[in-house]
Amino acid sequence: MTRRIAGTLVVALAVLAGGARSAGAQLADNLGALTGENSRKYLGPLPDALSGTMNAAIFTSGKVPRAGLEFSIGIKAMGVAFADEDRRFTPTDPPGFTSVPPIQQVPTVVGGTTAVSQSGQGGATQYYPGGFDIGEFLFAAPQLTIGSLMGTRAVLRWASGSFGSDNLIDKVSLFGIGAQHSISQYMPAAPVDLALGVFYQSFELNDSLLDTKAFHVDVTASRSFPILQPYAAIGFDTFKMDAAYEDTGTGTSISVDFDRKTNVHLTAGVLARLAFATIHAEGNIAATNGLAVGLSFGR
Amino acid sequence: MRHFRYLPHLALAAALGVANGGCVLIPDIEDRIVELAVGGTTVVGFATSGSGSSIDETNTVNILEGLNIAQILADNGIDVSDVTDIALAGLEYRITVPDPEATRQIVDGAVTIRRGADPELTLISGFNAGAGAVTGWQVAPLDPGGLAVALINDILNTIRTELPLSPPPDVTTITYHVTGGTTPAAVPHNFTWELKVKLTITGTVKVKVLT
Repeated sequence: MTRRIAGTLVVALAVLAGGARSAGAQLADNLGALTGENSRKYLGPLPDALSGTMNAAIFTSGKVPRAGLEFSIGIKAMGVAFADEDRRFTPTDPPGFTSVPPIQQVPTVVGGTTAVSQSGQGGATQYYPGGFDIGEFLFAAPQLTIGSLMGTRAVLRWASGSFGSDNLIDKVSLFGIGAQHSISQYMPAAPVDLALGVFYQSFELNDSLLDTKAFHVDVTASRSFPILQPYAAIGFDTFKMDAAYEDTGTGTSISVDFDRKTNVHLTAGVLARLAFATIHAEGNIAATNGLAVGLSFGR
Repeated sequence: MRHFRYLPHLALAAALGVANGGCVLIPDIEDRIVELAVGGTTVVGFATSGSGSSIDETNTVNILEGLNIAQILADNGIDVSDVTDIALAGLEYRITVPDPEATRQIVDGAVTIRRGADPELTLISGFNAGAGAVTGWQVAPLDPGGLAVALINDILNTIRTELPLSPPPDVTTITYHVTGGTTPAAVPHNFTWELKVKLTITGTVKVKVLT
């Protein structure tokens, strides 16, 4: 059967690359075989992974000029690795099906690609879909920074794409907005530059297949050297994800609300201002620990 | 400003190029054969009428008359050549036209099936339900033996392997036999019910995944 690029993890990249159609269509198909509770378990690894990546690499410096024109545009790429326990779950029996031992562990969205058969009472069978066998989660986003006014700069992320109504995934959108305000302007003697940042993001697949909202706040400290600028940040993230899809068996709509997650977010990284561009790399301890890199142009 | 339209793409390409060394952040597009699972249902209607304290009805049906597997696969966007198995996931029933007697009950009902001259295999047993009012879908208890379900699974997969053609009618024709007690016995019974056949289907798809 004809299938398209799969996996929500690649959506932002796919949008930027402009070449992918219908990312996540396979995900919708797989969800359609699952009850709401099992969908929550199937997608279980995603909230932490999305939170850990979407909330990374937003602020990479504590130095915010009090005033003056500052403009940069670039791309941020964030990744986290999945643990073995993220790859499988124990399903909840769907209505009307009573499993009999041995009870099978079945793949999550990042687990093995083979569907798993669970035997049920009376000889019934329930198949659970395979995952996409993904070891790492990648998320990329374009980011625009504009400043400064009264020691404050604005930060934007935005990406969207439409793939046509004949696709199960016909729309992808990412929007983020926030600001960073200099604290060190009030503390001239501080040995490092300090800034308080807040950032809100919304990421949607097909308007509602996956609907995520992320909020990040941190205090970033950095110190400037001729080329390098090491930085560190402490903050917290909140993340909310909901999913909605159609049950392929009954045609009914199913909504799955995931609990809102809040976690501390620690960052350490280094930024290098080169002649033509600025690059940075950082490590994050957050909902899921990960790495991020960025490349931007402008000042 | 025109030049800035291309900067995100340029930045992405540069980032991917610089990082093309096997690092965790380096996307690599790989083909994956993923086995999906979808559900499918078909609904069969029955009219039950008679008198006395028992129900005993026998009928012969061709499963293909009520079960369009090709349509179920098409509805789920599955090419039949990629399907690896179809199996019965469960049965549900509901009363669609209630018995005139509001207290009508079916007691210890059973449904058996057989193909051709083979012995009857119990599909549903220990079935107790009210038939005096319209109901939503209720779980029909499959017989623990599971032999009838095995027969249905065999028929389903025979149909699957023959698609887009159909197997010979003798392969897909079964005789079902509905039995059970009913109360009140003094009042004739007459109600209509439906049986929902829930299928679980698995098949492979080829997808591209960034890893």
